[in-house]
Amino acid sequence: MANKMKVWPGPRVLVPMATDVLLIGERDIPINNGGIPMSSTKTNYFNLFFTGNAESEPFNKLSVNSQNEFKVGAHMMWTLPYSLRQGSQVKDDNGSTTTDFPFTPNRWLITRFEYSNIKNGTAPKVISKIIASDTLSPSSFPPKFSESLYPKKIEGSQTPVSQIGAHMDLSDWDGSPGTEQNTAQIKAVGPGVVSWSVVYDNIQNVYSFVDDSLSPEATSANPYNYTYSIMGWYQDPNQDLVQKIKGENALEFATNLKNNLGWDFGTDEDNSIETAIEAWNIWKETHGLNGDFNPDNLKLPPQVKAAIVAWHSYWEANGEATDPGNLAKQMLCHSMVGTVKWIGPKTAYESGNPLASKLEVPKITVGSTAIDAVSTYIAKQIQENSENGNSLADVPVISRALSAFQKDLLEDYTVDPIRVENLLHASSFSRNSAGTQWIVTRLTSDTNNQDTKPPTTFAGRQSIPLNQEQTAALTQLNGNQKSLNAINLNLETQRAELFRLLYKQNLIEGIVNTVKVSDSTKGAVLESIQALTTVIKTNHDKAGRLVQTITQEKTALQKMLVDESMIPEVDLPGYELKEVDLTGYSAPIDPIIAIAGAQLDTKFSSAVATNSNAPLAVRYTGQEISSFLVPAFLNKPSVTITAAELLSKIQMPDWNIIPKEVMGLWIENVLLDYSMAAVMAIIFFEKNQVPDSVYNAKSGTDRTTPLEDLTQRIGYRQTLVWENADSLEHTTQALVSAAGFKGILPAKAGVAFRTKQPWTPVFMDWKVRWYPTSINAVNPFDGWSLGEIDYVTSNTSLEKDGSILLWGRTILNPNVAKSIQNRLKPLEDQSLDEFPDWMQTGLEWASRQAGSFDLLTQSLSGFNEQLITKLSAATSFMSSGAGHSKEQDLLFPAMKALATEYESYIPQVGTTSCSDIPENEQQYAPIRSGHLEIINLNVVDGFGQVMFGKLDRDGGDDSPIVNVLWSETFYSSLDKQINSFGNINPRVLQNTRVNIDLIRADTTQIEYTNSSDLTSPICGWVMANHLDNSLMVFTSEGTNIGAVIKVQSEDVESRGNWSIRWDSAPGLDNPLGAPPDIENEFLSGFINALLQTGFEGSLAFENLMQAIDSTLWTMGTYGRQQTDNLSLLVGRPIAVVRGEVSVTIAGNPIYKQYWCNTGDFYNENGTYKPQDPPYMSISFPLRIGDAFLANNGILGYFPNNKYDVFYPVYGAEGQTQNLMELLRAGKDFRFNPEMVITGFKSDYIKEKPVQITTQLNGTPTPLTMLVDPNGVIPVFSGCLPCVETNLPNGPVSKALERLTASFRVGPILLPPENVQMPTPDEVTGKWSWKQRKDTVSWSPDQEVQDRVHLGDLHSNPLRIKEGWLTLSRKDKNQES
Amino acid sequence: MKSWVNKKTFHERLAKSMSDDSTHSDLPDLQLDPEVAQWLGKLSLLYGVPLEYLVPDSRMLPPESIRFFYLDKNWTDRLLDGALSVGVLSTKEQIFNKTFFNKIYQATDLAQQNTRALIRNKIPEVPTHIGGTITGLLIRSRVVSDYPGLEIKGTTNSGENELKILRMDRLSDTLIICLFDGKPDKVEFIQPSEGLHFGIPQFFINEPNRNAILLRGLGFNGISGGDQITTNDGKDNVSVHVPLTETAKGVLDITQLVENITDKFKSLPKNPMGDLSELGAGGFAIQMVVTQQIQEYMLKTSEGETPDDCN
Repeated sequence: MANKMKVWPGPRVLVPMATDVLLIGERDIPINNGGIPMSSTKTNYFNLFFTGNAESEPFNKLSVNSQNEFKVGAHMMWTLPYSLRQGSQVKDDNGSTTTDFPFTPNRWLITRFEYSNIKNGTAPKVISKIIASDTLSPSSFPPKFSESLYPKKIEGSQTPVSQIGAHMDLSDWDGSPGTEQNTAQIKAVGPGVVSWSVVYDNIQNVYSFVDDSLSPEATSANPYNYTYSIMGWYQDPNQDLVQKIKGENALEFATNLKNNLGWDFGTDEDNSIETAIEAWNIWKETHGLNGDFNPDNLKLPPQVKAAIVAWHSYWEANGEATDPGNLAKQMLCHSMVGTVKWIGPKTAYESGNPLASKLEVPKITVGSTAIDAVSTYIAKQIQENSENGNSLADVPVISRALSAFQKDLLEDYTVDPIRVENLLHASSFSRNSAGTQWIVTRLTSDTNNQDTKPPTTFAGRQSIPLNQEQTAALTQLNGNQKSLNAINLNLETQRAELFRLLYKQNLIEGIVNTVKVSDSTKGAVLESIQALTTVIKTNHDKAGRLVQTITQEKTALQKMLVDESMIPEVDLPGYELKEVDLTGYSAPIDPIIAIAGAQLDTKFSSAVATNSNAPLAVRYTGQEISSFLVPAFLNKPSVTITAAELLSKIQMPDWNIIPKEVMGLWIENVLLDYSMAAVMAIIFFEKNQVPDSVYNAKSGTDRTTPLEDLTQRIGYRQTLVWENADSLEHTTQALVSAAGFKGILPAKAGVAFRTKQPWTPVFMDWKVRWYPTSINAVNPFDGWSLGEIDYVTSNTSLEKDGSILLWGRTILNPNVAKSIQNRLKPLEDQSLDEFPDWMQTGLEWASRQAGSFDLLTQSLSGFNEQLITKLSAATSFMSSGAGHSKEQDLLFPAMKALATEYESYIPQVGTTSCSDIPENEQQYAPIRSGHLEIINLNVVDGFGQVMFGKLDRDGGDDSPIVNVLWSETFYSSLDKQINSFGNINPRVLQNTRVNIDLIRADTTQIEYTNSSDLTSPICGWVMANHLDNSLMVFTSEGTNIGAVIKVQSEDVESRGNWSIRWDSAPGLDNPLGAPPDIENEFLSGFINALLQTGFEGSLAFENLMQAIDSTLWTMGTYGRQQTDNLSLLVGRPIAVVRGEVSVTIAGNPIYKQYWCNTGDFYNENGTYKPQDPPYMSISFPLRIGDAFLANNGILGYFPNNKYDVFYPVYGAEGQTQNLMELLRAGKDFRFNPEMVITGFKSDYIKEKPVQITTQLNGTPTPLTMLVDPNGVIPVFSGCLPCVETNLPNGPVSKALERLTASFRVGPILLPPENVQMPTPDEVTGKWSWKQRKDTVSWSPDQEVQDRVHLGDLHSNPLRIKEGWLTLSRKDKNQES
Repeated sequence: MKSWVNKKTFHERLAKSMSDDSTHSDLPDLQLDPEVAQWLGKLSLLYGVPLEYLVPDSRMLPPESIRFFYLDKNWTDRLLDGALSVGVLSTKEQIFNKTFFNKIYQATDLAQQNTRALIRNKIPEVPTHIGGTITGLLIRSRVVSDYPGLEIKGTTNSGENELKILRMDRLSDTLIICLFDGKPDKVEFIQPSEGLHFGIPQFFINEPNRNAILLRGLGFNGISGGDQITTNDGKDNVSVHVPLTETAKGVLDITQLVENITDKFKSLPKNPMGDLSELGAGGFAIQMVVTQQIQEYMLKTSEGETPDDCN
């Protein structure tokens, strides 16, 4: 008894779901190439135990030759509600995050209503079946079409794979749950397969059922109508999701139900949780569950009464005798499909593929992201539908605008386009963790103690003035964290490599089949396993020790950071140590395909995704539609048809082990069913005692009978409730009442009246031909150059050499395109005034059309991985190889070293013969570049129906689809927008990162900066003084030490020639002509090398100033740091900053996975000796900065600590040289284009292209950079996302506080006793006057007194003076 | 893949769009911030400019002197240029200034016209012209301190057209600067109109022996109170000598003056005192009240020529 299914006496949540029915006639069966084109979608778990991939193969053609396998009849498949298919991320005991999916209902009641003649009112015959979804039984091998598989071994089976799902007549079901070993815990995802529950071949008798007992007598002249009702619940109520919905009261319960599952009762008077509970209480009373159960008191129709009595008996025997309360603890999923029109078995019902009958194929667009692909498609539509004749060139422009809009960047489109381009470019990469670092932030006053004063030193500027000891501790901590990050990344890649080795070992030692490889390969596999096992253990131990060390260091530093003896009083309460994520590593995503015309199906979307206003409407027990009012007709009064009237005509199945709500839902189904209209009409006539001779008599011009007329009227009323209530300006419930129904209408998602064959795209089968730039990526950048955003190539023809075919099957996603379309609608509300008219018109058109685009998107999933010899696969790792191996001593530790981390990819092992493999076979492209042809794309639906991407007329199997629309990333010229092939720009196919690291400036060692101000990377400052035509130089703390100044030669003979010289800062005692005395080595290197150019004139200096000037044109004018106005008066303070740039990969390099390459580059006779594969040394360019980026801060740099050549920032090509000279000469300025020239005259400036080269092996390039602290330092590589860093606030603020600018001033009239002159009102700094006393000494500084009394006339005559006016930010208070 | 930004032509296009060449008509209207325009307008009227930049040596404007001058627009434009040089960080801003300086000057000239009204919380009148000649004067005198409400009026066309005063400021106790919108023929200095006071009319002030007042009616014998008493059918004013005491310089001998007035009244054919036997305080006050006085400076002779000392 205890082992029987428990039934639930309380209310249930009634959850609607969708069901599809595919009718198959004998002529539809896909025998060879006949019938409906179908593809098998079965996950064949047997393959896990052999050599292959468990998932269904792309482009497979289902060919069945037995009707026993592919049954004629109605194949129905239901789609679980979205919440039951949605996973959530949970952390396991080890702290790892995994995605967990809920259990799904596993008992399903299928009820068929058969209408042999819907016109004459014959009542339906009703039969029911039970599906036990979780039942496992022995499977055939090889499995039959009708068998769905599950990777669990059952009692007595020889194979580790079973058949899942079972069905039986309702009367045969006794409520037994099955043994634990012979049942599966089913979820929407199958083991290792996310698409498991949405494809028919995996879920036969799980979430699908084939009714092969349809009438053989039906014909097209005398069709049968079938209606199916599907209801599902949990065998084990503890698995029920509703069980987990908590609530102290009804409202809280409803809120949680809505928040957690997206289900809602509604909030109005017609339907809410209150009305639902009210309905439940009425139901409970009418069905005798309110108090002692006494069947004699039940006033119910006999069948209903019998059902509840039977149910009650079972409940008493098997249920829990607890008061269920008014809040539901269980759900009942329900679905109804009516008007399944069956015209007999001897026919063809044909494919649901909407293009099949038209002999058309879907349109294909390729983009770098889903947004890119959809935007490109829509942009092309705009161009083609434009009344203004948009050109091809407009397509990429509109596409970018659409993409920018999708990313909320439309406003930036006109303001800072480079930033938008970078962000769009970056979106074609995935980001992966790179570990963490430790930073120190200020504790705010209220963090610990509200009485403590907030810090005042540099308050708000986030300076972190740690002392030496604290700084050293932070540096040490970050050093160890960096080591730990590296070890963790190594471990990740090493474990992945070990997984693949063990997989290879499995292949060698397969249970049934084994792969025959040479002894040397076998040896290499085992040796490599040994090498990696050892290093993983070593690294694991190292990581453990480092974690301990870091924990100790962290604790010690935390104490120091709040130790009052180590912190200036003004900075109390001290600082806080935080661990933050580092910028992640990036890897390119696969190219994305948008398929237009494949007919979108939103059934897999959440209710929210399909209707932004409404979650899924659910109901409560007692809210079913319970009666229907047939209106007055032929002068006869109206008749209310209730369960009693219906059940006088229809015999429902009789059973007790089913939810108590079933009878009510059956009644509802019948009332809503159009096929029942005639039956209800006859009930009307009989109630009104109208004889059949009357209601069957033909009359009128149409020669119709009253039965036909009333049937039509009833049918109209039944149809009315499914009209769009909003468009009729009514509520749905008002329509329900108007139509004559009583009860709450189920959501539309749960009721379908079938009109055609279903079509639900699930898979995209893709086949592409890859044309690598260089075979095996020997020289992947050959013919490619780094363009403005990404790489460009001049190579526009395809070289067949080395081309290979790649293919895959991926799951289509309707949500992405749908979401993009939904987001397009508000485009109408966006201000588009900044755009040209033609573009505004186009974007508005796209916004209006947003709902009508029929798009699906998916990546060429696995494309990138295949290029690096990895294959996507179901990844439940099979350890059987180790279990059988004589090498257990080696393999068990290796399994242990794997821990719980398994890769999603298995190795592409290639041919086993290792000798004489041709160069272009077994290819490997860790840096991909080349071209791509789309050879074929098939769309496969949930039933396996195929929509071909290419028709026979379009060429053979291996010829490309010629009219693919490519997004601009993929073509070199506009005429290639629609083309058979596209460019695949160079990308590094593993997690890689460009690093721009700042290095402490006060030492020549490499010590990276951290939060402490003491680790500042600022070597000093320079400021272009346009008034003096000089470059002022300051220490890192802002002290003026002099200027490089342009001077005319003092030599009389060469007067007119210009040079540069060093002038010490006013006030310093350095003798005239003395060389600069600059302490910082890097600043000194820069200034001295610049002064060296003075021997050849001032050209180098001028070019430097011009390079800086042309960069300043594109910069935002004033920024966060320069509120002091100093830059307004003089120029921008520019920091001289020390840093380095490098490119690193996450963990170990990608190793080639072919049998022949096992252990290459790390295995030396079982010892781990890693070497870089050759591709790690391939050089490629990096670009530091971009003059056209609005927040670019870098003006140029000196690489490799060499200062004889200045590298201006990208885009600064001296365009303003002539302008500068003209303006300086003070001549009338009349612009003409010749004034803007490019190129520098001096060798001191590096000519374009301004970039440096790097390699993947992490070799850094030291840089000394000139940086405006307002901006960032961006680094571009094209093949990776742009990265950027900025200067630390503390040292910048500190220096800007002290920066003192000086200007030569004179002659000026001043009183003899002091210095008086008007000073700017808004400048908060301090003005001083410096003046030489004689040629070697200086007069004391004089403070400039503001001329307040402007009307005073001095009694003493004024004097003419010359000197230096200085301006510093520090005011008197600060000075003290 | 190209950027939206045409980097090759960026500088050229930007320079061209800003430059004052054939595309001048395409230049966007410069909407100078009103506060900036007002500030520049004030600067062009020398607000904030130290006096020694105008008068480098105090000997050039000794006490009790007045200096008329023209305001050199070249000089004030350079003053504006200096102010506008703030924030010029690159040649881009320089080109902007080069391109828009005329428009900035125009905006400044307009603001210049409104400056005084705004300072005085008045609604500015719509100017009929801008950018014309500005002249001015500096007066350094005790008059400035003695007559705090001293008014200055510049006119042309023999006093028919009054010039707008763009600025009139006391720079110190004894120093006033006044700027006219145009070049006046005549400048009048007028005592504060809002104050009545006792005094001796100004036209006698430089003739010590001719201290006299003109007598006024007291409302008797058909002579209205306050009306000037004349003889010979209104041709001659009736005056009396104003005696001073002998002990203190500049102090009136009131008793004697009252006697003089009373005697004079009685000597007239119709005694303005009527039946009064004594003059009384009110009658005396009526005689002693003087209104504001005007001092004229003619910058042109009646023949339309500028006097030598005004050049």
